[in-house]
Amino acid sequence: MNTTLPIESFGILSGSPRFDTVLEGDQAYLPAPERYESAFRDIFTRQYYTNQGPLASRLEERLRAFHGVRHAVCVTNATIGLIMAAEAMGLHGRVIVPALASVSVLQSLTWAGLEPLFSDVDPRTHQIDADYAADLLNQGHSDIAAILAVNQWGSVCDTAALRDLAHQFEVRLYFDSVHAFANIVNGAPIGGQGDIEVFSLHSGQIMGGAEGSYLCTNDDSLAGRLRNIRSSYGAGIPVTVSKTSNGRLSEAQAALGLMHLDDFPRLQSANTKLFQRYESGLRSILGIRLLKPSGIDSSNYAYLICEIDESEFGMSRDCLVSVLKADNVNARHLMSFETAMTCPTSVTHLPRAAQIMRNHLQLPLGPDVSTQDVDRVCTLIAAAKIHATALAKASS
Amino acid sequence: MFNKSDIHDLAVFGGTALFATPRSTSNLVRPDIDTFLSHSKLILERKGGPNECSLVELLEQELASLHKTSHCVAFSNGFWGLALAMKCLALPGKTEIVMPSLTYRRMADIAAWVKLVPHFCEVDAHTLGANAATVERCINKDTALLLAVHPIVNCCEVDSLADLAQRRNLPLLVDAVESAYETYRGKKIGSFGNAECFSMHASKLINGFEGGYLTTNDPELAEKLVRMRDLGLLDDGCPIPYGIDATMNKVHAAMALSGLSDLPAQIERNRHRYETYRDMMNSLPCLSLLTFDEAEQCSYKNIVVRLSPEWPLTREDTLRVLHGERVIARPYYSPALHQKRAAYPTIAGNLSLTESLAEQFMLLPCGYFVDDEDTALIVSLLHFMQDHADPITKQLRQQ
Repeated sequence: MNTTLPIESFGILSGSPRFDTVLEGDQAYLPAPERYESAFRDIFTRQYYTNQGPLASRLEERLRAFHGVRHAVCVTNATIGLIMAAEAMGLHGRVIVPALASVSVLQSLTWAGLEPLFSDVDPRTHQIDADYAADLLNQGHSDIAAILAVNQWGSVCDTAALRDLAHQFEVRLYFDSVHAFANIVNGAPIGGQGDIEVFSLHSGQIMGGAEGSYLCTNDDSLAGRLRNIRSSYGAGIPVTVSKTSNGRLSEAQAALGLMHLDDFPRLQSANTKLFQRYESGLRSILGIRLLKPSGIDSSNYAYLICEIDESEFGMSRDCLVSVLKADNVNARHLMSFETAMTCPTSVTHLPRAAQIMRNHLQLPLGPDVSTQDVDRVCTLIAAAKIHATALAKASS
Repeated sequence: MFNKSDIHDLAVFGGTALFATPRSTSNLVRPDIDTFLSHSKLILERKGGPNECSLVELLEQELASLHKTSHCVAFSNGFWGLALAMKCLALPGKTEIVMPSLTYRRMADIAAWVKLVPHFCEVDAHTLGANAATVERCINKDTALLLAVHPIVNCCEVDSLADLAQRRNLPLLVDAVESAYETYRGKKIGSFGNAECFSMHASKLINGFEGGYLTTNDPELAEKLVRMRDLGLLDDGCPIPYGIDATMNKVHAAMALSGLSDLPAQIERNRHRYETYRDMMNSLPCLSLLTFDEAEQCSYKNIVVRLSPEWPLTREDTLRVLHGERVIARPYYSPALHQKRAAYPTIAGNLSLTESLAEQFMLLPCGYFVDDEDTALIVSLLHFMQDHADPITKQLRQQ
């Protein structure tokens, strides 16, 4: 690999970025225009727009079968899905959540009248540390109602340990699996791990559907409540719920979800190739370590997360992000704008999560990224390491 | 073709239904597919970079212009738009929201999500909406917010409600879902009170698949609502409690924009349907049509009738027979909210007028699916029911 890019060629010094357009690299997927047109002409002919229409029902059935669960309940977005999950379980009190949980998770608890109790994460896997959660439960807090675990960045938590904890302390266990669509554990896609698993159909995630979401459960009673909270349409058997919401998924969202599901194997295979390309491209660079998905047989490989060891790499994570951005590579902090960790009070209590937030970054990976793009990004990073001192000075 | 000559021809007694597919009270307007696909191009070509106006922003601008307000904020649906508006407007430390009981069936649930206690007020028999006197009776030291709701036909007295709110130093939120096109005393609905909320559910005036929006002339409120809608994140990344993801997606925005282009034509279609009903129902004096106030701008969308005491069937029986024929008429806001059991606290005094009104009205099919022939069939059916009321009642009791 060419690691001899001259220092003056870096965008941060030349003012001329190496990539002509920004390499965004999220999972944003859109169907081919002719498929989109055909799907919407069908909807306009059918004139069924929302209220659990035929496409929403078909999508639910396909997702249910995909995950091998008893119920998949489609909803308008994942935040509202998380709120509905807490409401359906009738939770009161506090909920253990990992320190790296998204703002969606935290806001869902607020709406459901619940308080978060943060657990630190495992520094190797970034998933909730079951031992830490056990300590919280053992401290004798009587008002802990549930563990809301997050399957972060293409990995899966230590589900068995969490399930044992939930069983032992008689608390509910539910999952934010927004990052975990199509992760395979014990030979099958996840989906039925806890009481409820919330997946995303957000257009920026591995499986899209115009910002929608769906909830998987094997519990008939919870599914009934979720459907009744969502709205009266498609509610099945009426069940008394304390209050309803509006969480319907429209036919437009369902149409996009179905198309994405059709294309998913191809997209996942492309992700896997890109992931492997990054893996080999970064392997020989000291001071940068790629986070391999854990707890799975195979991952969706949709998230490329790296740790920067400043002493080995020669520059900080923040410097590298600035250098890459100046070359139009959309390297990102770990959704820093979206995590609980940005609030200063959390950081002191949760040192491992805080460390992860400080020294990790996310690199572009998605349908708009080619293997050549990955090679260029890896070359750029390798050269950045060689010129680390001068570039760090420039970026400051 | 009207197919009933005997009561046993009624579907409820085993006959063939008058309609092969349901005629409902939902608007379900189908905009022009090519307009929709043209808007969708912006999505498919991934346009809308940081400096470009997104489809959702474009929609917000057009809606602000329609309502003659400075700001509009779009939401995933009206339910969460209302919830966020309540959260943003409620006076801190206060607990009650004054709202009519004769209203949208989920309204009290929305208040419960934001931990406000619904304090149900009486309505005005003429407008079917709350007025300054009925609302003022419910104001007390705990009042956090006033919620006015426009009725299904015409408007409530929103100017005097705004005066009351000002005089009592209370915020006023208006649910204007059913008055999206109307004016009140010549002024466009959208700029009364602190904010007004609308729905773009497929059943409403503008079909956005799902969706909702809020209009206001208060820039600070608009900014706060956008922030709360987009997860409540402050610039330093910390969340404001009760932020949520209630963003409207671009495909729904494309649909709503297409519906807006069709709006003048839709109003003409609605007016024609309304006038057809009005003319045909002249011969049914026991079912009086609620007329639109044509001194104002009207949507002519909803067809509501009052069942007079002389109408020879109960409303329940009337609806049962109609539903059998796939005429999906609906009772008007019935039961009223205070008559339903709630799992959260509510406050209601004597609401006898509301209880009486909740028994008197029904909505007849309207919207894009209902043409002149359908209207004629529905009116013929109502005539038939009136003429055969006694045997119908007797037969229903025997079932």
